[in-house]
Amino acid sequence: MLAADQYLMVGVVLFGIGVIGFLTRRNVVVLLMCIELMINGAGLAFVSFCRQTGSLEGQVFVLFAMVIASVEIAVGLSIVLLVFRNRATLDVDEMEVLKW
Amino acid sequence: MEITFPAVNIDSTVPQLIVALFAILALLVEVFSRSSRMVFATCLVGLHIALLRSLMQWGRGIPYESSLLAVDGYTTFFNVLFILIAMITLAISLSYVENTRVDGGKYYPLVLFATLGMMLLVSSMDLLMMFLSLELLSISMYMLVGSQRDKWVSTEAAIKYILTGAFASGFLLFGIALVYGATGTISFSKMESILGGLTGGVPPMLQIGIALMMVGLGFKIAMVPFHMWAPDVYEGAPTPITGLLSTGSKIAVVALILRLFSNPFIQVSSQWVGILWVLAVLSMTLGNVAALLQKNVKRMLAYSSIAHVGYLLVAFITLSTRGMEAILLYSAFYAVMGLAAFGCIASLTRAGGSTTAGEGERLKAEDYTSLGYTQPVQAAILSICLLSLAGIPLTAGFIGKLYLFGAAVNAGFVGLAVIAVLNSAVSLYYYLGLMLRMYALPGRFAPAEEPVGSLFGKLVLLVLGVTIIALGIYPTPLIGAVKGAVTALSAL
Repeated sequence: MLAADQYLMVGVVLFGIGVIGFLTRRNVVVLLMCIELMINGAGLAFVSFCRQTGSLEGQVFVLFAMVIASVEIAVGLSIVLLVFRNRATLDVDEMEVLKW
Repeated sequence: MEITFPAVNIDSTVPQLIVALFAILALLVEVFSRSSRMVFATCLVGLHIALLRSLMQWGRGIPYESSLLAVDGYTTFFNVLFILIAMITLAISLSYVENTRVDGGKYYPLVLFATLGMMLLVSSMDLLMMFLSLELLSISMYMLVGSQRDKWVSTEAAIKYILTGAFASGFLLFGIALVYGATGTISFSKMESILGGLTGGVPPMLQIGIALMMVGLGFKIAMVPFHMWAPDVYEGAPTPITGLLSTGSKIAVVALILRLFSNPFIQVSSQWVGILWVLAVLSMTLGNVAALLQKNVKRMLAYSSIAHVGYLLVAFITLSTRGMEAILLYSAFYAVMGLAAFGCIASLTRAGGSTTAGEGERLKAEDYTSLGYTQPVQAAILSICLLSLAGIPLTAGFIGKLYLFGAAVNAGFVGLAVIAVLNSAVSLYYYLGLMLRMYALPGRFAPAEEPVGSLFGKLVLLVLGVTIIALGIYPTPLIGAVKGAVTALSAL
């Protein structure tokens, strides 16, 4: 049986992988996946805090966060589709019409 | 462990419910009538009813507070402001939507959903409600930014916005998790009492949590150093939506930060003064210097809006009642100025071609040369907005800045106030530069040009222009309203 602290560490690591991935990868779909990792890392943190504090609010929060994450991905992917239809590319570095 | 359901007082949340109801109704109207004007009318009627209902709550001294929402003078003030912002946004959108082939049937209801997000955000009394309403606002805005589907810049702006916005939401969510872990609650009022009873310093986990939350919220208000997305998104978005982004969604998050730092986080707020001092200076300076170098009018206004966040922060770090009053006052003024300025740009759009970047829309500063002679109405209103944004006396912007910087001086932040005033002086250069350009004498071979813009659009702009001057000359009623709202906030 793992302690709640260890779950928290996994959450932090997931969040960190998400952040690093977002900052280093260039493919739009991978970026959305990294955001998903960040949100789920936060979710894991919520659940482990729930265990520690004995309140239920954190678990309720995770359910809502999952819904929000899926809505974000649904909107995100439809915009990605629009991008791909226009430019046939998913590389963020090639989206540079709007610049300084 | 048991869950108690919060008691819901339907009566005090009626304005929000009306906006939600009419947003859904408008979607149904879109399905059954297929007429974008019908959807527009539905949304506008809904907003009017919600406005009347909000005004009925105005000044009624019985605050209602559940574990989720607070309805008090503070929220009523912002509800009225957001409904007005939404109404102005719709009004300046009407001809723009028809000229640029945006799908109005989805566009107008989304503006209402975004407004609902702003209204709920300001009344949130716990972290869950706050997160959900912020996401409602953000996700509606992602879609609105990308709503010009046949135009690449709009799509590019949307993808950049959703990537940075969702990244910021990730930080916000993780920050919320840490704050929840450190305090064991997500309710603002319980958090305030827990933090109030702390002995021996603030736990580091809470500090990190609040810092991560501020990163997420800083992204949403485009505060330096989290501003990188703003110019691109502002340029690519449909112009009325740029107006909504730079006023409504920014003001809503600022109002939320004010509530956070005057209720739950009041114990730690003084530790943030130093950091926010630096960020305020950076926001003002970077925003103004970058705006100075811009040739694209929408980008210029985008950078200037970053600078305006800096001005708001100047008053915020005083953490005083006076500072908060100044922020509320300036938010209301800035809403009118910002929307009117983007409304003028939107109204100068010609019908037809918008398949490539910027075609049909006046974006470059050169496009505004001698505009005062060909498009007198828009040029005049835009000049009033620019003067007001620069803070020239007799306009609303002057009174607003006077209060902001006055609050800073009053609280002893004289150096910061001096930097802010210097920044204002820098901003004069580009605001007045554009204005002078509009009134430069036309060359002999200047092409003749028919006035553009619908009568309705021009009337709306005229009303906004008159409002800016009227508030600059006689701001007393608004100042009274702002004082009431701040009293309600600190009474909680």
